[in-house]
Amino acid sequence: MELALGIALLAVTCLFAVFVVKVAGSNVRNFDESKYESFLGK
Amino acid sequence: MSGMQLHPDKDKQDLNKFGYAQELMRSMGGFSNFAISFSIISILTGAVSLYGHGLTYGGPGMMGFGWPLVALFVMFVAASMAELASAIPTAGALYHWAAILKNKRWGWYTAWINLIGQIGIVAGIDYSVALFADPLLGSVFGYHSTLTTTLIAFTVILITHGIFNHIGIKIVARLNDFSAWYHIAIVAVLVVTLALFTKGGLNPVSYLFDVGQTFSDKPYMFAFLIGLLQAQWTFTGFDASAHTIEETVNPRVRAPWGIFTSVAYSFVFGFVMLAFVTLSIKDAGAATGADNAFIYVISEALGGTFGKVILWLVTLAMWFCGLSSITSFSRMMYAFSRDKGMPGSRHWAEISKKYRTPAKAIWLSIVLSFLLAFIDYLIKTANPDAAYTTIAFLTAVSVVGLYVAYGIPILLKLIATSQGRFQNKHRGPWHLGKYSNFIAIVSLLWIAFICVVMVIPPNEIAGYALAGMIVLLIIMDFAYYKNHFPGPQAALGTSMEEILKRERELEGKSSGGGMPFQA
Repeated sequence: MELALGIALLAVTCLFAVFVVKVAGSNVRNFDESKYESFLGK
Repeated sequence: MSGMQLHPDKDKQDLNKFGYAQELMRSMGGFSNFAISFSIISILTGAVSLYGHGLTYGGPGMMGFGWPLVALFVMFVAASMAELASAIPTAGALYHWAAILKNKRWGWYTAWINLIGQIGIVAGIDYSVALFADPLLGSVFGYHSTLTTTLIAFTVILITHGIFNHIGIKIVARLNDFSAWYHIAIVAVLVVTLALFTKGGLNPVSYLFDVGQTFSDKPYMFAFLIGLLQAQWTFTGFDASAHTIEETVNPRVRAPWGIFTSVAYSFVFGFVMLAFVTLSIKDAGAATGADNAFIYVISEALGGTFGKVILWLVTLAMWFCGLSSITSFSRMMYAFSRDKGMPGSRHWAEISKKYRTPAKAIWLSIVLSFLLAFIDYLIKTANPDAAYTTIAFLTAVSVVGLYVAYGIPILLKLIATSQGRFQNKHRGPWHLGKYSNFIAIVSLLWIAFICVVMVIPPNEIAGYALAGMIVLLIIMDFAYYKNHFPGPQAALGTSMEEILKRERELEGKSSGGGMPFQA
């Protein structure tokens, strides 16, 4: 039981890392510089 | 890592928009930016020096459950910070983000809390090096390691880090690159050796996930929480990729990747290392009673000679970790002083014209880190029976200081987004889209949880120290800075003519090697 839980936790952690890499990677590739505006807090 | 083109001039222009000149040398590539955070996280520093702490409180299950649990939530934090680094690429990072997302006073408090955490992390890392190096040197030169000799070793180590950082980002970046590969190589050697040569073979895999066993006098769940310090402290310092953002080419893409991937790779390599070390344990009770549980386990599994070799190799990895942490700390202090946030700011914001490094900020970071450890030394000397350990004190201070500083801009970005001030057009290329807010909320919940866990007994002295520092900050704020800190907003008024003049001055006098903006 503990072994299964441990492996599940490892799998969730790895999947989350892969998820972030996919989402952010896709956004970097599709970034449109012309729509970007520096946030200057003004 | 990106399909975006490299335009060093564009990087400089992005920085100029915030009212800052390109003073530091922009020469770091993507791997160097990753390597500095990977080196500060340093699985061979945090996970090794606090291995005994984790094993004592959480038993072997601390490595199987504690490490991935902490890594998972730290990845939420890292992803949220990576978004901010992509949107606002300045060396002040956390404090600058807070200042422009809310106001200068939020920025000022964030900076100081970050600074306290940075002092803790540098002192904690270099004290770890000293704890490993001093007995080794003692065995070579025939002296017995004491609190005093450890403090002397700590001081010498700090000075070597100061010298390397002073003489240039290029050499530090090369050493960081080497450090990243060095960490991976040492982990590989350790894992293969343990897998093949552990006396009597490895424990079954289920041993790694064995919960309910603690070697402390605390109930297991409580002890498990205390043991999380091992992993939580290891996963600190990845803000370094943001602090060196003004020295990185294509920073809006490379720095966020540096932040996130340094945590992700540290999770993977750290877990593999901890798994094999834990599976080679012969007697966990005896290991927790040893001076250094990690070395005890290795020596029992592979013999004393190999244990000693590993000790030297790990000590060198820790030295690299300390080197990177000074780089990060000094850049943060330089950026904060550039906005006149500290006493004597004029000095700490000064750039060495020869090396293009914030030389005075580097040496101040060394003095402050020394003072924190020295105060602890005086307390320990006056009260030798104190229940806490120096390393647990320093690491708890750094975890709380750094994570509160990580959390403030994440919270402020959530608020600014909900108020419509921070919009989609403000997001940098590296962002999480519709998942951004959810990931930020989970990050904040974890930070709140971990800040409580880090200061519960036996680490309550770290809580008192932090509370004392916060009171001091409030006094400083109301006595002077409330009315005198111009904040990064003031830099927005700097004319392009002034910025370019400053850049020309530095370009003309730099002899650090290479063009200032080369890729």
